[in-house]
Amino acid sequence: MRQDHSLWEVLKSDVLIIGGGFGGLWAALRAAESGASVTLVDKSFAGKSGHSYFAGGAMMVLLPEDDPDEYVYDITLGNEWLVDQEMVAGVFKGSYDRLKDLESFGFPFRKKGGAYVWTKARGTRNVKNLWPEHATAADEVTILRKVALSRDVKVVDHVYIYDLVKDANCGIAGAVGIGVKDPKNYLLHAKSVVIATNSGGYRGHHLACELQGTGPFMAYDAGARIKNPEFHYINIRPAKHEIEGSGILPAIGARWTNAKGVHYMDTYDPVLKDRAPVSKIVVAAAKEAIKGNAPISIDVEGMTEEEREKFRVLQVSHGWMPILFEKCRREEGYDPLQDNIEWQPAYEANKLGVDADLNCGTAIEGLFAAGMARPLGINPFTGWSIASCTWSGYRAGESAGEYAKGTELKAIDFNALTESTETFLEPLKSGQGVDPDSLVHEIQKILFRLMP
Amino acid sequence: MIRSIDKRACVGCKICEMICPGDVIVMDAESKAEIKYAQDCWTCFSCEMACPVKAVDVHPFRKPRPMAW
Repeated sequence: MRQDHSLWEVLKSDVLIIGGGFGGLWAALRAAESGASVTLVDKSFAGKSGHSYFAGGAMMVLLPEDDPDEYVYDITLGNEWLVDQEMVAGVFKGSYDRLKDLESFGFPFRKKGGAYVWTKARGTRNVKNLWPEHATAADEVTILRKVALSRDVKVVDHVYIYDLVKDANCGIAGAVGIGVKDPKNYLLHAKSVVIATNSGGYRGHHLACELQGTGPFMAYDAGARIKNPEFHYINIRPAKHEIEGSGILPAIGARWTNAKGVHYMDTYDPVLKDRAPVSKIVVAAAKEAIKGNAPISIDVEGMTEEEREKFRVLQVSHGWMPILFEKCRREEGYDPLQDNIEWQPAYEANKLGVDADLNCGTAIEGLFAAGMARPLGINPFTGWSIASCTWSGYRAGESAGEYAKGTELKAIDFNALTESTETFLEPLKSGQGVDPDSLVHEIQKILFRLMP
Repeated sequence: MIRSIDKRACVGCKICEMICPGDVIVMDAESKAEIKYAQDCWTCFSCEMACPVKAVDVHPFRKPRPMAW
């Protein structure tokens, strides 16, 4: 056991942020802005891990001329009414200010003739998605990390947090973790904690398949309420590799097609058709496959060259996508934007999160939740994830910073940490585990068998 | 999935090891980058993009995933 004090690294700060995606990085920026000392910890490399780095980059923004009620209605309807409408309103209320913040950080959004370039968000009638100049969110999280470092946020990479620490009165006092690249235990002692770690995913199909759900689980273990474990994040992905853009391609003009060449979404959603909410797109694809109409494709062959060029500019001009496209062309002999390839309905992650109020406070004093670790609705939309993770991170960071101002670091019984360390290490001793692929397979069989 | 690291080209800067979100790469006894857990790679191309001497090669395909039918 690693209970030798010499193998412990102890770091103290006002605010501890767990998770280095949009939620965590925005929380860190905002908490630091309030004057708090901030530590941000990530099991991998903050700004590279989790879902954020691989996001398409579109962000839903309520521009000054837009009607907030229309935005809230669209997102509420798209979530089948199972969403906190006040939260949705809050996301949009601050969205324009965050857009301006990003531009001030050196992350511009596309404009034409002085006006922002936008596309209509998948699954909505009125919501606008704005597009970064740099294409994809990879550069955005990279810049947020740099801004966090410039604001003296202490970024601790490659430390796996596995438990929250409480004092004798059950008040939040920090978290414990283990070094991924060094043989150390970490005690991150803090006045308030933000969990911004996403939910669990059993190595699903999408990129960022390492989602483990540790954050919401340890909050639950500490006594917080959880929400939405009965919902799952399903999506549709290329069968062989990743492409970000299943939402933007139909917005530009591509259509979902089956093996018989039928554009089947007209039947499944006569109003929004190929721009239907992702849940409808996935269910339709699964039904088509079960009927024997696989493979499913997004019909890029039917796109005009002008539409393809628009996609290239929005999605294939920066980050990892150009490399992928170039290698598909050179090594596999096809262009994902010229040749139809198979897409599959896929399981990605659970939607379980830590129940939180509009300030992102949880049932536990001093514990806040942001990003996908906070329930943000049951269905994904292009541009909603970034907008809502940005909002919740910003709000949680603000709340955690404020909370820390009015409190002191709580006393920790160092010896009491032994128990949680032992509990964490115990399953690792067996040398056996469940194959994540088989879990995904079982979940998909259940999900697609039960679908309406 | 990560395909290869050219050890002759590798300068041992450790950037790929640091930047990999999945702990796929470790440094070997000669301080050269080595693929340790290829099955954990989710094909993000971060290592390939970050390598200053283009020693890392990532293939676009990932591990086939099971379907429900």
